[in-house]
Amino acid sequence: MSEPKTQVQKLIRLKRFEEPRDGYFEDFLAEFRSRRDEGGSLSSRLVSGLDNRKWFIGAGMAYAALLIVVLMWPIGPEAKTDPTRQPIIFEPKQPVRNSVTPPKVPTSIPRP
Amino acid sequence: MNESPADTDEVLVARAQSGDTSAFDQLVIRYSPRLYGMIYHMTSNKEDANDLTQDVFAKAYRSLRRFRGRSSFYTWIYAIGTNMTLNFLKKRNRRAAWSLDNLDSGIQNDEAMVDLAHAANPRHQSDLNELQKKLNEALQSLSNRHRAVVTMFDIQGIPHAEISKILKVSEGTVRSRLFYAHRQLQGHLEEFIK
Repeated sequence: MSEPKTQVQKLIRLKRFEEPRDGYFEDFLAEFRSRRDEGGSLSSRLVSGLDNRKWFIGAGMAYAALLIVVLMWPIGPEAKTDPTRQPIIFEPKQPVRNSVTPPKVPTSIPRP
Repeated sequence: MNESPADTDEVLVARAQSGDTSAFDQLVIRYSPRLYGMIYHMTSNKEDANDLTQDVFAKAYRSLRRFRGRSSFYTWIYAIGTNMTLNFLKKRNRRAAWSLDNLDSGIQNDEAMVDLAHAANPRHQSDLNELQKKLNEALQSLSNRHRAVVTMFDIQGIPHAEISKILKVSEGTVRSRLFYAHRQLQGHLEEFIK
Protein backbone atom coordinates (compact mmCIF):
# COMPACT_ATOMS: atom_id res chain seq x y z
CA MET A 1 0.00 0.00 0.00
CA SER A 2 1.51 3.32 -0.99
CA GLU A 3 2.06 6.02 1.60
CA PRO A 4 -0.56 8.49 0.34
CA LYS A 5 -3.20 5.76 0.35
CA THR A 6 -2.31 4.90 3.92
CA GLN A 7 -2.68 8.53 4.80
CA VAL A 8 -6.08 8.60 3.16
CA GLN A 9 -7.14 5.56 5.10
CA LYS A 10 -5.82 7.06 8.34
CA LEU A 11 -7.83 10.18 7.72
CA ILE A 12 -10.98 8.29 6.82
CA ARG A 13 -10.58 6.11 9.89
CA LEU A 14 -10.87 9.22 12.05
CA LYS A 15 -14.56 9.13 11.29
CA ARG A 16 -15.02 6.10 13.48
CA PHE A 17 -14.67 8.42 16.46
CA GLU A 18 -17.82 10.24 15.47
CA GLU A 19 -20.25 8.76 17.90
CA PRO A 20 -23.62 9.85 19.15
CA ARG A 21 -24.07 11.33 22.60
CA ASP A 22 -24.02 9.19 25.74
CA GLY A 23 -27.27 7.37 26.32
CA TYR A 24 -28.27 7.64 22.69
CA PHE A 25 -28.61 3.88 22.20
CA GLU A 26 -30.72 3.45 25.33
CA ASP A 27 -33.11 6.03 23.90
CA PHE A 28 -32.86 4.31 20.56
CA LEU A 29 -34.02 1.00 22.07
CA ALA A 30 -36.87 2.73 23.90
CA GLU A 31 -37.96 4.36 20.65
CA PHE A 32 -37.77 1.03 18.85
CA ARG A 33 -39.88 -0.70 21.50
CA SER A 34 -42.45 2.03 21.38
CA ARG A 35 -42.65 1.87 17.59
CA ARG A 36 -42.88 -1.92 17.69
CA ASP A 37 -45.74 -1.79 20.19
CA GLU A 38 -47.56 0.78 18.12
CA GLY A 39 -46.83 -1.25 15.02
CA GLY A 40 -48.24 -4.38 16.65
CA SER A 41 -51.51 -2.76 17.52
CA LEU A 42 -51.51 -1.02 14.20
CA SER A 43 -51.02 -4.27 12.32
CA SER A 44 -53.74 -6.01 14.31
CA ARG A 45 -56.04 -3.07 13.58
CA LEU A 46 -55.03 -3.35 9.99
CA VAL A 47 -55.83 -7.08 9.94
CA SER A 48 -59.28 -6.56 11.49
CA GLY A 49 -59.81 -3.65 9.16
CA LEU A 50 -58.89 -5.88 6.26
CA ASP A 51 -61.44 -8.47 7.46
CA ASN A 52 -64.17 -5.85 7.54
CA ARG A 53 -63.05 -4.49 4.25
CA LYS A 54 -63.11 -7.99 2.78
CA TRP A 55 -66.79 -8.33 3.63
CA PHE A 56 -67.50 -4.86 2.36
CA ILE A 57 -65.70 -5.54 -0.89
CA GLY A 58 -67.49 -8.90 -1.26
CA ALA A 59 -70.89 -7.32 -0.79
CA GLY A 60 -70.02 -4.52 -3.19
CA MET A 61 -68.84 -7.00 -5.81
CA ALA A 62 -72.03 -9.04 -5.47
CA TYR A 63 -74.16 -5.92 -5.82
CA ALA A 64 -72.15 -4.77 -8.86
CA ALA A 65 -72.48 -8.21 -10.46
CA LEU A 66 -76.24 -8.17 -9.92
CA LEU A 67 -76.47 -4.69 -11.39
CA ILE A 68 -74.50 -5.75 -14.44
CA VAL A 69 -76.73 -8.79 -14.95
CA VAL A 70 -79.84 -6.63 -14.74
CA LEU A 71 -78.50 -4.02 -17.11
CA MET A 72 -77.10 -6.48 -19.60
CA TRP A 73 -80.12 -8.82 -19.65
CA PRO A 74 -80.91 -9.44 -23.31
CA ILE A 75 -84.10 -7.66 -24.26
CA GLY A 76 -85.95 -9.41 -27.16
CA PRO A 77 -88.04 -7.52 -29.73
CA GLU A 78 -91.18 -8.83 -28.15
CA ALA A 79 -90.22 -7.28 -24.85
CA LYS A 80 -89.78 -3.86 -26.31
CA THR A 81 -92.65 -1.52 -25.91
CA ASP A 82 -93.98 -0.86 -29.36
CA PRO A 83 -96.74 1.73 -29.48
CA THR A 84 -98.11 0.25 -32.70
CA ARG A 85 -98.82 -2.99 -31.01
CA GLN A 86 -101.96 -3.52 -29.12
CA PRO A 87 -102.19 -5.68 -26.16
CA ILE A 88 -103.46 -9.07 -26.98
CA ILE A 89 -106.64 -9.85 -25.17
CA PHE A 90 -107.66 -13.38 -25.05
CA GLU A 91 -111.36 -13.87 -25.15
CA PRO A 92 -113.30 -17.11 -25.21
CA LYS A 93 -114.36 -18.15 -28.69
CA GLN A 94 -118.05 -17.53 -29.39
CA PRO A 95 -120.12 -18.80 -32.19
CA VAL A 96 -120.10 -16.40 -35.04
CA ARG A 97 -123.47 -14.84 -35.48
CA ASN A 98 -124.75 -12.67 -38.29
CA SER A 99 -122.24 -14.14 -40.46
CA VAL A 100 -123.29 -14.63 -44.01
CA THR A 101 -123.43 -18.26 -44.76
CA PRO A 102 -123.70 -19.16 -48.31
CA PRO A 103 -127.07 -20.70 -49.16
CA LYS A 104 -127.07 -24.34 -49.57
CA VAL A 105 -126.72 -25.20 -53.07
CA PRO A 106 -128.83 -28.17 -53.84
CA THR A 107 -126.72 -30.84 -55.10
CA SER A 108 -129.49 -31.97 -57.46
CA ILE A 109 -131.85 -29.78 -59.41
CA PRO A 110 -135.46 -30.86 -59.01
CA ARG A 111 -137.10 -31.82 -62.22
CA PRO A 112 -140.03 -29.80 -63.32
CA MET B 1 -34.47 -8.94 31.03
CA ASN B 2 -33.82 -12.62 31.36
CA GLU B 3 -31.21 -13.07 28.62
CA SER B 4 -27.54 -13.21 29.36
CA PRO B 5 -24.95 -11.33 27.33
CA ALA B 6 -23.40 -14.69 26.45
CA ASP B 7 -26.43 -15.67 24.37
CA THR B 8 -25.34 -16.21 20.82
CA ASP B 9 -27.08 -14.54 17.92
CA GLU B 10 -28.53 -17.92 16.90
CA VAL B 11 -30.11 -18.42 20.32
CA LEU B 12 -31.49 -14.89 20.40
CA VAL B 13 -32.84 -15.17 16.85
CA ALA B 14 -34.53 -18.50 17.63
CA ARG B 15 -36.13 -17.01 20.73
CA ALA B 16 -37.19 -13.89 18.87
CA GLN B 17 -38.68 -16.04 16.12
CA SER B 18 -40.78 -17.80 18.69
CA GLY B 19 -42.15 -14.47 19.88
CA ASP B 20 -39.72 -13.40 22.60
CA THR B 21 -39.50 -9.65 22.01
CA SER B 22 -36.85 -9.19 24.70
CA ALA B 23 -34.53 -11.48 22.69
CA PHE B 24 -34.90 -9.19 19.72
CA ASP B 25 -34.24 -6.20 22.00
CA GLN B 26 -30.95 -7.85 22.88
CA LEU B 27 -30.08 -8.03 19.19
CA VAL B 28 -30.97 -4.35 18.85
CA ILE B 29 -28.65 -3.50 21.74
CA ARG B 30 -25.91 -5.63 20.19
CA TYR B 31 -26.06 -4.28 16.66
CA SER B 32 -27.55 -0.79 16.77
CA PRO B 33 -24.21 1.00 17.36
CA ARG B 34 -22.51 -0.62 14.37
CA LEU B 35 -25.54 -0.37 12.13
CA TYR B 36 -26.15 3.24 13.11
CA GLY B 37 -22.46 3.96 12.45
CA MET B 38 -22.62 2.47 8.98
CA ILE B 39 -25.79 4.38 8.10
CA TYR B 40 -24.50 7.61 9.63
CA HIS B 41 -21.26 7.46 7.64
CA MET B 42 -23.23 6.69 4.49
CA THR B 43 -25.71 9.54 4.96
CA SER B 44 -23.61 12.01 7.01
CA ASN B 45 -26.80 13.05 8.75
CA LYS B 46 -27.81 12.13 12.31
CA GLU B 47 -31.57 12.38 11.88
CA ASP B 48 -31.55 10.34 8.70
CA ALA B 49 -29.28 7.79 10.37
CA ASN B 50 -31.59 7.51 13.38
CA ASP B 51 -34.74 7.09 11.29
CA LEU B 52 -33.15 4.65 8.90
CA THR B 53 -31.66 2.52 11.67
CA GLN B 54 -35.09 2.35 13.31
CA ASP B 55 -36.59 1.32 9.99
CA VAL B 56 -33.94 -1.33 9.47
CA PHE B 57 -34.67 -2.97 12.83
CA ALA B 58 -38.40 -2.69 12.24
CA LYS B 59 -38.03 -4.42 8.88
CA ALA B 60 -35.76 -7.07 10.36
CA TYR B 61 -38.30 -7.69 13.12
CA ARG B 62 -41.12 -8.10 10.61
CA SER B 63 -39.01 -10.38 8.38
CA LEU B 64 -37.47 -12.42 11.17
CA ARG B 65 -39.68 -15.46 10.53
CA ARG B 66 -38.24 -15.66 7.03
CA PHE B 67 -34.65 -15.62 8.31
CA ARG B 68 -33.37 -19.17 7.78
CA GLY B 69 -29.86 -18.70 9.13
CA ARG B 70 -28.10 -19.25 5.81
CA SER B 71 -25.95 -16.24 6.73
CA SER B 72 -25.19 -14.83 10.14
CA PHE B 73 -27.75 -12.46 11.66
CA TYR B 74 -25.08 -9.77 11.51
CA THR B 75 -24.62 -10.19 7.74
CA TRP B 76 -28.37 -10.40 7.21
CA ILE B 77 -29.21 -7.21 9.09
CA TYR B 78 -26.27 -5.39 7.57
CA ALA B 79 -27.52 -6.37 4.11
CA ILE B 80 -30.97 -5.00 4.98
CA GLY B 81 -29.36 -1.82 6.32
CA THR B 82 -27.14 -1.34 3.28
CA ASN B 83 -29.97 -1.89 0.80
CA MET B 84 -32.31 0.46 2.64
CA THR B 85 -29.60 3.10 2.91
CA LEU B 86 -28.68 2.85 -0.77
CA ASN B 87 -32.36 3.18 -1.71
CA PHE B 88 -32.72 6.15 0.62
CA LEU B 89 -29.65 7.83 -0.85
CA LYS B 90 -30.93 7.32 -4.38
CA LYS B 91 -34.09 9.20 -3.44
CA ARG B 92 -32.19 11.86 -1.52
CA ASN B 93 -29.82 12.48 -4.40
CA ARG B 94 -32.81 13.22 -6.61
CA ARG B 95 -33.96 15.92 -4.20
CA ALA B 96 -32.55 19.22 -5.39
CA ALA B 97 -32.87 20.86 -1.98
CA TRP B 98 -30.37 18.54 -0.31
CA SER B 99 -26.81 19.84 -0.23
CA LEU B 100 -23.52 19.30 1.53
CA ASP B 101 -24.56 22.00 4.00
CA ASN B 102 -26.83 19.37 5.52
CA LEU B 103 -23.84 17.30 6.56
CA ASP B 104 -23.39 16.97 10.26
CA SER B 105 -20.41 18.23 12.16
CA GLY B 106 -19.99 17.21 15.74
CA ILE B 107 -16.60 15.72 16.42
CA GLN B 108 -14.53 18.84 16.78
CA ASN B 109 -14.69 18.53 20.56
CA ASP B 110 -13.98 14.83 20.69
CA GLU B 111 -10.64 14.37 22.47
CA ALA B 112 -9.92 11.05 20.83
CA MET B 113 -10.55 12.65 17.49
CA VAL B 114 -8.20 15.54 18.26
CA ASP B 115 -5.38 13.21 19.28
CA LEU B 116 -5.86 10.94 16.33
CA ALA B 117 -6.10 13.78 13.86
CA HIS B 118 -2.77 15.10 15.07
CA ALA B 119 -1.23 11.65 15.06
CA ALA B 120 -2.48 11.02 11.56
CA ASN B 121 -1.30 14.33 10.29
CA PRO B 122 1.19 15.96 12.68
CA ARG B 123 2.60 18.38 10.09
CA HIS B 124 -0.75 19.82 9.26
CA GLN B 125 -2.34 21.28 12.39
CA SER B 126 -5.56 21.90 10.64
CA ASP B 127 -8.77 22.94 12.15
CA LEU B 128 -10.70 19.82 13.06
CA ASN B 129 -13.91 21.36 11.96
CA GLU B 130 -12.45 21.93 8.55
CA LEU B 131 -11.02 18.43 8.49
CA GLN B 132 -14.33 16.86 9.28
CA LYS B 133 -16.08 18.96 6.71
CA LYS B 134 -13.52 17.92 4.11
CA LEU B 135 -13.79 14.27 5.13
CA ASN B 136 -17.54 14.37 4.77
CA GLU B 137 -17.36 16.18 1.46
CA ALA B 138 -14.79 13.70 0.21
CA LEU B 139 -16.97 10.77 1.25
CA GLN B 140 -20.05 12.34 -0.28
CA SER B 141 -18.18 12.83 -3.53
CA LEU B 142 -17.99 9.05 -3.90
CA SER B 143 -20.78 7.10 -5.50
CA ASN B 144 -23.06 5.38 -3.00
CA ARG B 145 -21.60 1.96 -3.80
CA HIS B 146 -18.04 3.18 -3.32
CA ARG B 147 -18.95 4.99 -0.11
CA ALA B 148 -20.50 1.77 1.19
CA VAL B 149 -17.25 -0.19 0.86
CA VAL B 150 -15.14 2.63 2.29
CA THR B 151 -17.52 2.92 5.24
CA MET B 152 -17.52 -0.77 5.94
CA PHE B 153 -13.82 -1.43 5.33
CA ASP B 154 -11.97 1.73 6.33
CA ILE B 155 -14.25 3.10 9.03
CA GLN B 156 -15.85 0.00 10.46
CA GLY B 157 -13.07 -2.50 9.81
CA ILE B 158 -15.26 -5.18 8.24
CA PRO B 159 -13.16 -7.67 6.22
CA HIS B 160 -13.46 -7.92 2.45
CA ALA B 161 -15.10 -11.35 2.58
CA GLU B 162 -17.84 -10.12 4.91
CA ILE B 163 -18.46 -7.03 2.79
CA SER B 164 -18.80 -9.19 -0.30
CA LYS B 165 -21.50 -11.24 1.48
CA ILE B 166 -23.33 -8.14 2.67
CA LEU B 167 -23.29 -6.47 -0.75
CA LYS B 168 -23.66 -9.76 -2.65
CA VAL B 169 -20.69 -8.98 -4.90
CA SER B 170 -17.37 -10.74 -5.31
CA GLU B 171 -14.40 -9.97 -3.13
CA GLY B 172 -12.63 -8.76 -6.27
CA THR B 173 -15.36 -6.20 -6.78
CA VAL B 174 -15.00 -5.05 -3.18
CA ARG B 175 -11.25 -4.60 -3.61
CA SER B 176 -11.62 -2.83 -6.92
CA ARG B 177 -14.21 -0.43 -5.48
CA LEU B 178 -11.91 0.28 -2.56
CA PHE B 179 -8.97 0.95 -4.86
CA TYR B 180 -10.97 3.35 -6.98
CA ALA B 181 -12.49 5.06 -3.93
CA HIS B 182 -9.09 5.57 -2.25
CA ARG B 183 -7.71 7.12 -5.41
CA GLN B 184 -10.65 9.50 -5.58
CA LEU B 185 -10.45 10.36 -1.86
CA GLN B 186 -6.76 11.08 -2.21
CA GLY B 187 -7.56 13.81 -4.70
CA HIS B 188 -10.09 15.39 -2.36
CA LEU B 189 -7.90 15.23 0.75
CA GLU B 190 -4.61 16.15 -0.86
CA GLU B 191 -4.10 19.22 1.31
CA PHE B 192 -4.23 17.07 4.47
CA ILE B 193 -1.90 14.41 3.09
CA LYS B 194 1.03 16.62 2.02
